Amino acid sequence: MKKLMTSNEAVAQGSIESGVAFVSGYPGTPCTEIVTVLQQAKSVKCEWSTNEKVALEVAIGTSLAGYRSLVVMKTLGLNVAADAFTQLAGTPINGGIVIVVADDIGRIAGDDYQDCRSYGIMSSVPVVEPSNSQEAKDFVAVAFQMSEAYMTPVIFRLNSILCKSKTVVSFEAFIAEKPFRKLSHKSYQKTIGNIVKFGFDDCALDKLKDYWHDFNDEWQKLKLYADETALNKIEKGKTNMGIIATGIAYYYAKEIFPDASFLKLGMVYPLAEKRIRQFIKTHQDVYLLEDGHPLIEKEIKSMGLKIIGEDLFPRFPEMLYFTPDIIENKFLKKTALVKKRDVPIRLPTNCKGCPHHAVNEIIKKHDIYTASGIGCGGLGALPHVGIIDVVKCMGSSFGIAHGYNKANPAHSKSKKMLAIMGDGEFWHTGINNLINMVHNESATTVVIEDNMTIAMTGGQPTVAVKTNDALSSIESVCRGIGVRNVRVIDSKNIEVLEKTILDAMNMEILSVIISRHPCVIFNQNKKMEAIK
Amino acid sequence: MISQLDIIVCGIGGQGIVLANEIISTVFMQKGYDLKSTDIIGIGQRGGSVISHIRIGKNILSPLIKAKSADMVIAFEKYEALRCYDYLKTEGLLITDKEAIIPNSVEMGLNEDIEIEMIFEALPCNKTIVDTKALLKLQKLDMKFANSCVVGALSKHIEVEEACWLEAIKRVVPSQSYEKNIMAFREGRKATSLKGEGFDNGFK
Repeated sequence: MKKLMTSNEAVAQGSIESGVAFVSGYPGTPCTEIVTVLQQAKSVKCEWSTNEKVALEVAIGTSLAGYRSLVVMKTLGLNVAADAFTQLAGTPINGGIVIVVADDIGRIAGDDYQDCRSYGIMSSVPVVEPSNSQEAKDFVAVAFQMSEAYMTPVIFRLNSILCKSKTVVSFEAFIAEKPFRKLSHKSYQKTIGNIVKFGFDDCALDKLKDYWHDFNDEWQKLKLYADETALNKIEKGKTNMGIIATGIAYYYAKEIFPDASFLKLGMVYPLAEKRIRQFIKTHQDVYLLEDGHPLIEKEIKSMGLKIIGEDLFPRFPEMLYFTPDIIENKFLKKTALVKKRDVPIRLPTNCKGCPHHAVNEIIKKHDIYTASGIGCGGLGALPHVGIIDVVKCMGSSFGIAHGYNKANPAHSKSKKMLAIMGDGEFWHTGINNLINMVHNESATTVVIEDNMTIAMTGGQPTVAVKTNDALSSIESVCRGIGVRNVRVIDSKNIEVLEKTILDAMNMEILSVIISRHPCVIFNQNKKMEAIK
Repeated sequence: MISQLDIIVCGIGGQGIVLANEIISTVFMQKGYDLKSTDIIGIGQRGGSVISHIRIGKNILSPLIKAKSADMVIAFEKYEALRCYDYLKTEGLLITDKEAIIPNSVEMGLNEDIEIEMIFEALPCNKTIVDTKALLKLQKLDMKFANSCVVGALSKHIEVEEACWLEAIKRVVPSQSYEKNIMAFREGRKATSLKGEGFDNGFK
């Protein structure tokens, strides 16, 4: 069969064909779609976990039970999951674990310069990167085999263009039997393994073998595999020019230099050292095209080889990515890049009728010093609205305001800081900050803008909406952890909301104000009525 | 005869750009072409700019279209048409909705407005302007069908039979809105004269 698919859909298809049994993840542009598609598949159990760390930990569990597990997150999500990730790396697993991470190369969906390959390098975890949807589908199967053969999680790297790019995919309607394997592991803890290794002279002792996993041995084998795998391929050209390319940049370069020789890397870490050496030796000038930071370039240069990368393609101001125009312009110095015309920009804004919008209006009116997080709650910080002063990561605003106010006691002349946060953020990581505020007797006012869904990524349900249980409502949880002053106000009652916020800010206690109104786009009516 | 067709579809998040892209892509998939189509959305679902690149031919490599190489730019609004104008090749065709929707950065005082109609008038390219507001009004349809109306105008410039477009719309849009999308498509197609002035994409 043939179908036009985004790489997101193709990853989902590849996962089904590989017999994936469990999928966990946290929504994040641009790869939310992978889980949305897999939710339709009967053979797969899916969950939107409450954050990325939890999602990965769930996958560790399903893997230990013997099942193939897929974890999906955007690039910044891997930061949240980093603790679980670095613990997982280097410990034996049962069912394969593939972690799909979408880097926002070119800052199309967000505002970061992160490159998930750094995590692979840091933790000796292999990284696989497809160039189109067909490869996205096919490489998932290889990634699972690799994961099980070398007992390691595999990072499957996508980017903002690739995720949303549709190309023709050939696939079998046939669906694989679920592979299931159950190896015997006594210890799954890398740290314990290390301590044992360091404490005893002979790790081969019978009593110790269950505690020691020789992850370095697996890594050495993986390096040999990198030189053999069909994920990497050489295409001989007609000229002496050589290009080593990864990801979608391969197709950009292929179009501009159809006669060059290519070493296309689908396995981007560990590197196929022998093939790279051979390729560079047999070509006059070898160029390197890798989206993101010059990481492969550094690895190749540390092999003592010569390659042209960053010298020709500085990482700024092009924001670490390639387009056909950028490549052509740098090589041939002739293309006019798409000119920046003087067309006024369009920036996203909060919808009228949303609690975010209502709270923003109050902040603006009273010029309140405010911290916010990311998602719809962060839009007020963009310069065309410009009413939020501090924006950091998901769930961060409570802690920042608590710290700021703690450092500036009540009698000081500094303005008090207000913290605002969407309900999605609250359940993601914000709740930890609130527990800390109770623990440390914070005297800060926080507003939870509850539009009863994770709106920015397409309206995924939060725990409060999904359970439809008063005990799981935000107010119950806040009271349950010891917040005395909890108020719930419909954000349509803007005057009441305004007065409540101002009054709370004049008090020296921790106050939580839940400003609630259903999302105007992703309205989940019935459940909301029930919660009220 | 050229064997490749590169189309940019652009507008504002919420205008149905992704759906229009799907309709166009489905038409050419049915015809057996190789195809790559990419939606660059960003956080466009809250009112930002959205651009789709559609590349149709025998063996498409890059999914992105280079500057000054698109055969057509299809815009759902004039500011976005202008923003994507530099993708268009000299002999290319610009199809746009008549509407000009002032960007929020102007309303909020971050950017100064431009003389959009004047600048637009002066663009030296082939243009087809679709008055979707008036056309949809004829059929008592609301503006959310503007995308199908513009696609109807586009269909007049591509030598693929109408039935193929209708089939694509049927496959792509939700069944309950199929009839209305067809009505909008037909209005756009009917109102467009055969081939833009001097425009020939040679795509047969």
